[in-house]
Amino acid sequence: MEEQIEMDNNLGVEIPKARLWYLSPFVWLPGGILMSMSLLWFVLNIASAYIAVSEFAKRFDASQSADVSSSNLSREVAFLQARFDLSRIDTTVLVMDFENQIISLEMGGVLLHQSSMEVIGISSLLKNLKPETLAKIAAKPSRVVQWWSNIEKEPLKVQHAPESPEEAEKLAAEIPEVKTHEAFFSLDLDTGVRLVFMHHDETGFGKFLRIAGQNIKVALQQAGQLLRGKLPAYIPIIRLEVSPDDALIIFRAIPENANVVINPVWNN
Amino acid sequence: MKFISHFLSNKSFPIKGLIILVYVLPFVLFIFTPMLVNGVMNLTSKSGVAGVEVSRQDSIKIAALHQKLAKCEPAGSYLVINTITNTFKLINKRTLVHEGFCSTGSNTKLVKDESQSWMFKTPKGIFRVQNKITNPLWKKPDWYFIESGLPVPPPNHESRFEYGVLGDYALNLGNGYLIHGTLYQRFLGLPVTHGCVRMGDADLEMVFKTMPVGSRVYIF
Repeated sequence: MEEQIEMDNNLGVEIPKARLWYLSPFVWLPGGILMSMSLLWFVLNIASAYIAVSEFAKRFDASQSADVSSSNLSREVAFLQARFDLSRIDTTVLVMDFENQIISLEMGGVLLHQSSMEVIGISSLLKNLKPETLAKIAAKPSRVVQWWSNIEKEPLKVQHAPESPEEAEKLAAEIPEVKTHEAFFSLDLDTGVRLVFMHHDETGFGKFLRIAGQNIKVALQQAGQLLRGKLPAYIPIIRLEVSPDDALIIFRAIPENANVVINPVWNN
Repeated sequence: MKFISHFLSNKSFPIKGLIILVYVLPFVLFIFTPMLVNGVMNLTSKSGVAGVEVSRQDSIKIAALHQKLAKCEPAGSYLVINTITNTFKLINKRTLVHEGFCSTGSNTKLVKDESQSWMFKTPKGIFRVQNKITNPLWKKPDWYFIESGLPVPPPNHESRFEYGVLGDYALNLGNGYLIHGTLYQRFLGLPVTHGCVRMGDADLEMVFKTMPVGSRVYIF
């Protein structure tokens, strides 16, 4: 078939018409729409962050503690008082002491388990909060309202009753499977903060993939909100790296709606 | 390679490059915008702790609260059982006396039929030792016979009673839950029980002798 050609006046060379695809509006139009949407996405995200900053500060500045007035309230007093208040309940409480970089599990005020925070990553929103606001965060225990994990919280096995003693003997002789679980999880608190637990020994590409996966998850959630006509919600994050064993213990030990006490002392 | 060199040498490369940018940048922005906006920074230095200055009045309060919190911990002996790692810690006079492996509930649901099922799970919370038993006698519950594929005998039938299965000692935590010994020592450290806490012979003896009736057991 004879190839159709046309003369490009600017370049002065003959260009086959089929190769001019890159000038077609069918290429530029979808690209333009995609680009505009992504820029809008970027702007909306920044706007939602600004709104979250003001709402976060407003929420804690407006909240009053019953025991201590805001003027002389110290963060440490507030943190200890919150721990003491929760010592009256008999469920596991997650205590996050950023000053000493220690995560503790407590029940009735008794230490059950302790682990160290190896690396802490924190959203700029939280990092830039005023000391008075931090003291108010310490004074009010948070509750986990939602969580995500790569493993089950309480794995349940279902066993059907054996029909005969022989079948029962076979079942009893089975050696229980020993599984090593690696727990990666996040806890969304009622204060709007998300705690993300990772492993300190994970490095390189694996770590990059996990962080990227987390970002895609957040981005998809926000895209869903945008599609429903809502402004994408900005969630301040505290990312903690602990040992794999500690991550599993913390995740499985705390109840679904666990109480969390935070001593929010961010090091500069 | 030929395609790439052609692509790069082509005079229309800037336009094609722009097309690539127009299609790739939105995806990059979509994924990385939340991260950029969030700006998660690592905290490395331990210096320069921020916070409200602690007044003298506050330091008195802090000391009082530390004291109150310290009083939450029993002065005598208590036991902490970790159902995730199947380990225990025996603490006496606020000092760790002994630690070791134990076995806790298997989190198994035994189903006989639609109307009858049993959940084998160790309850979590704070318990007290109700009473202590030497050479405990086990009264086998209905689930034992169902699990063994045997017919369930009447409540006080002689086939329900057996010595030696629970070891030499037992500490009663109430509601049918015991800390006791086991014939299956090789399973210590694994979640295999029907809800009770099993310990090795030597560990059980130490716990039995150290913990008086009324002392607390924390299970998490």
